[in-house]
Amino acid sequence: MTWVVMTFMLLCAAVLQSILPPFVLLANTKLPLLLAVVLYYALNRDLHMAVVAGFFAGCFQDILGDAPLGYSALCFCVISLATGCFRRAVMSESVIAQSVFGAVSGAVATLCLYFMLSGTEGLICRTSWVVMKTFWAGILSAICVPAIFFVIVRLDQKVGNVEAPEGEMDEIW
Amino acid sequence: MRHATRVICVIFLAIIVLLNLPLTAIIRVRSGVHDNVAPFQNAVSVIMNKCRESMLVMKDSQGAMTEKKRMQEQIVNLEYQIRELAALERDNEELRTQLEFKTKEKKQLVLCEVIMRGGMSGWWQSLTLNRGSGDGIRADMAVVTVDGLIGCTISVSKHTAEVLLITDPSCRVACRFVRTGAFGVMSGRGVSMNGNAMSYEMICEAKPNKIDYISKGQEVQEDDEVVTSGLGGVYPEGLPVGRVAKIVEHSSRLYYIAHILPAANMRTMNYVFVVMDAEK
Repeated sequence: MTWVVMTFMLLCAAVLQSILPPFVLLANTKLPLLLAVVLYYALNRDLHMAVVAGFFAGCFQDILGDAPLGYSALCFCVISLATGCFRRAVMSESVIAQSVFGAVSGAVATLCLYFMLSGTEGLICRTSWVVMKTFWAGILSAICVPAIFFVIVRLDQKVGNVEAPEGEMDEIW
Repeated sequence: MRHATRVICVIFLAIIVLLNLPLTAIIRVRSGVHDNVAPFQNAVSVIMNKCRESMLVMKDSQGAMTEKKRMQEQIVNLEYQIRELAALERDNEELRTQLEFKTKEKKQLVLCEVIMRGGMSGWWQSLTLNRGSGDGIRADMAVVTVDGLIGCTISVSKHTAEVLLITDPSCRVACRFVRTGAFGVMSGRGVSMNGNAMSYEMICEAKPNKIDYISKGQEVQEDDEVVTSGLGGVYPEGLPVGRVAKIVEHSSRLYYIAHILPAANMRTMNYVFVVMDAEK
């Protein structure tokens, strides 16, 4: 069922991320819902599952967006691998840890994508714009990662992927 | 552990394959996924539009929005006909030969709904429309609103079309100043972070576009109207693009740069029109 939940969450995140409009005040940054799903699997599941989630999330982002195929997939896979290395060192249930990992990952993913796109696709962006976009990607990730974690944890509990006592979950949240 | 390593290796191999896929395969994959996701995007987009319209209907009289939507298409068609007729009156005998060509090349507009804004990551100024090759839309077709040009289609699947907006720095439009007849190539300058930009529907606060390399002999003035020149084969002639907001001299003092305010409102684009070209 873990794979089913992952697929379902990736699909929902992809559709939602594509529909929600970007805000110019946040440097046209979109809510990084797909990245949040990847981070969940990187911090809570085996490394190979995290990389698979990263691959498919990146594929969705590339196919539904304008970037060349494989760019976001590569970014997300590297991020999921790097995050997965800290899996045992951090309390993934802590909202602060989720936010911190979200912020760093969001910013890193944005920067990586920018460098790849500007190097190969001739993306034209002002430096100030890229800095703003990176900053806001970090902030938005820090906000939406805990929310996505909450949803997937609840979904996993519903379908029986995670066996956490209700009381314990209430304490966490 | 060995299983995990094997899976990770396979994934990275898959990424290498993806990065080296031929263009035709990429287009096929993209079209397939776009077509399958479009119904979901459409559904959510319709729900959001319905909510917005309901709010407006509550304010306005009953049924006004439905009537407005029906009339919108007629108005745009009529406005473009009027513009064409006005242009015909101004033209002299020499342009009558082109007039004959123009009457053959009737423009037909296809109403489309915007189902996605700004792509997936917001790096480009783009829109995704709910109509595609199944409705006769092809790549490199002009996209307009009631007020004027907003961009051109860059890729099309059966049920969706992606539009690159004229505010994107990678978008180029061959233009003509109506008053002087001078030609130029307009490029986007991205979006501005100033102004009243807190609207939910907003995709961007368009920064004035620019036309470079205007020779000093051309007497371009502020508020001059700019339309598409028809050169280049993407945009039909005479589509309103905008007006000159400011003219500045380049630091080399060799030429002028005109800042163009887009005629179309780039912030609220729920419905747009694709200009069907008979030749395409």
